[in-house]
Amino acid sequence: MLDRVRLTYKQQRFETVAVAVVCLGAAAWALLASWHLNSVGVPASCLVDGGVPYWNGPANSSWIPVACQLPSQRFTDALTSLDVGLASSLGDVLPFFVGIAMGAPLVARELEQGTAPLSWALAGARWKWLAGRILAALLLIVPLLLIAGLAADVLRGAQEPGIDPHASFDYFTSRGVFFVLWGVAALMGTVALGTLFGRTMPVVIVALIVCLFARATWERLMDGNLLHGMAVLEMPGVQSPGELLVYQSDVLYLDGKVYTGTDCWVSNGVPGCQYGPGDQPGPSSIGPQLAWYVITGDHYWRVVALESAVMLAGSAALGAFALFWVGRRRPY
Amino acid sequence: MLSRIRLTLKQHRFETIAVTIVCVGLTVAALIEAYRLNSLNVPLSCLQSYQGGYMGPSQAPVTAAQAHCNELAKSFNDMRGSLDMNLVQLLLLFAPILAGIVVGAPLVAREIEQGTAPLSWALSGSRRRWLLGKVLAGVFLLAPLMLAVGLAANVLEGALNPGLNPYASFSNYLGRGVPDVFWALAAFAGTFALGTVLGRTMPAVVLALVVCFFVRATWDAGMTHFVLRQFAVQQVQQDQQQQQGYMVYGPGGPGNADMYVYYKSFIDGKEVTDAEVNAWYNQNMVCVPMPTQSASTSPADSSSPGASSSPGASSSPGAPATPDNSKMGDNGVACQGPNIDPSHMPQQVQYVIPGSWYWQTIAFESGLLLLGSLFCGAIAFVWVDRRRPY
Repeated sequence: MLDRVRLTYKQQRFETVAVAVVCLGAAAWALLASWHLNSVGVPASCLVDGGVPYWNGPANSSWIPVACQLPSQRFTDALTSLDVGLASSLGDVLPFFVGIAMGAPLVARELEQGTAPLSWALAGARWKWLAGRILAALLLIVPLLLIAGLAADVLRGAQEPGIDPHASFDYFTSRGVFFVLWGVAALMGTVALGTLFGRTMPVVIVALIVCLFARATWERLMDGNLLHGMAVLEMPGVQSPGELLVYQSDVLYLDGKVYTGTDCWVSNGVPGCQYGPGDQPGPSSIGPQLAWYVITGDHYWRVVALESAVMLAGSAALGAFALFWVGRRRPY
Repeated sequence: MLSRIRLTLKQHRFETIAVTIVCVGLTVAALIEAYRLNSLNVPLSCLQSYQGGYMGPSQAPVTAAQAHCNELAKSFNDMRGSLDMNLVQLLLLFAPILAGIVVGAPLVAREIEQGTAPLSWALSGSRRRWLLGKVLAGVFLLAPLMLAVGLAANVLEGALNPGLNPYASFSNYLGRGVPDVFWALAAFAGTFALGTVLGRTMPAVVLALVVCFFVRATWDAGMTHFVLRQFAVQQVQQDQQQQQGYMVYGPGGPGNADMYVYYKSFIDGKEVTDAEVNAWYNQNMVCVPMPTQSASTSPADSSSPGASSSPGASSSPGAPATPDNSKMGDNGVACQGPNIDPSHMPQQVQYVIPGSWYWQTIAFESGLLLLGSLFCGAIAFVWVDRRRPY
């Protein structure tokens, strides 16, 4: 098996080297961007809800305490700089790039070049041959993506210095272990497509489209189904940093209780009020408001474990399909 | 030459059909989404007055007409943020570059990889003529498809931002309209040049994806900092007023028809640095604690001009400014502006590319992309003549 793993790397040396260089480069870049942000040295006392107050020009930021103005300005400049912006967006593309680049030629190229029948004969069984190749790809991409994902966690921590990235749902599916999960899912999906099509470019095209759809719909699907039951009611005016907003209530709340008055109503999710004379709330009251059902940051690992399980189950199903299909397909 | 173009499209039939289906499907989807938004007929005034689900304490009672207006605005915003709309917008952003890479990567590389290139070269008489036929096939396929996608994206942009003229606004201007064609051509030229140099399809795809990601991500900033900076003009008051009608609604809040490039600060007509402006505000702004439950500063902290709240007593960004030139944070600290003539306060002058220069800017940036494409194409034409046939 070890020989097969080594041979796979050698056969796909360009993809192997490219994936390693890109992942390590992305990790180094994210760490440099974190260092760039940390080097501003914003005092902990300047943080608001765990984040650095956003500098919006002198005229609009005079509410920021004097001692915090210069750090806030420098931090905002660093946060909006090109290197930090690019490093932050890598989480949305890197795992898919890695999964597709490694997965597309894994089976399809051998079929395309007509070397598959010989490889299958030498391996003894087609599934054993494919298992060796998948194992090689996993052994390469899992540690590399884990490094890049952890670096993305460090970057998120630098972007919000007062919030533990492992207790915050801010961009949580674009960093940390999700790098590995997305990468493995993209790899398995692409390998399955490769065994179906047997052609590299068609596999790349279809995989790109499928991954785009999967990434764009994932959070909504999770919020709407899996996480719906885990969310708890949070009263209006209350907020905890890093929480995940799952869905909005359809009734109004006032002073921690359901609003039972008749002056305000909710129609199609939009609140409205028609106060009678003298019924208007005082200046210190925010009046009846819609509430949110949320998952707080201390449930981070539970949510990550749940979503990881779903994604790994999907990846395993795709891998199983590839192992099954490779035994039945024509060798060209 | 026509036969060669037909043959190229036939050789790459999967890529040709896939790109055609995706582009036509995307065009139709964008037009349907635009039609759905337009058919809501939400008055611009409803969108401007809608405050989301939040009702402020000082908000005037909502009349039946305003409640209806809010419902319309909410349905508009819900449709804007819907999954199908997000998918269409995401695909519109990536389609030009992905289409260019998908068509460009196998153009030369596959023939070299499969060993059919020497025969093709011999039959064509010249390698360059052979490459020209293949490149023309790619251009004839991509240009009309991308033009359709770009025009549909323009229609969608207009529907997403009621009151906005997509041909006189820089809102998302590189992700719609004519630039789509040139992004696709640039990605196509770059990728077939890589295919010619490398002679392998997957390496060409991998490198092209990395290069295109960086170019696309850095293009805006590069153009703004190095190229458009010298053309930026001072934003005139008239433009600012006109832009009231060009409100762009979205997650980022209201946007502008003009393209912001940089700003300069002035005090009494003299240009000053940001640090000098900060110093001015710190000298002239008075911050006092408000008598609310959450106020955490003592009156002594802010009894004199220039003093402010304690470091921990800051408030959230975007604290609303009250009409009397004061600002209040959400933890009960209010900063009162100086009682001096507003004309002596620091002024910020924005330098912009006005929305009315849309076509000139598009022509300029498209020209740059075309130049880049020609350069990549030239490399491919030189290289194909010199490379080994395997």
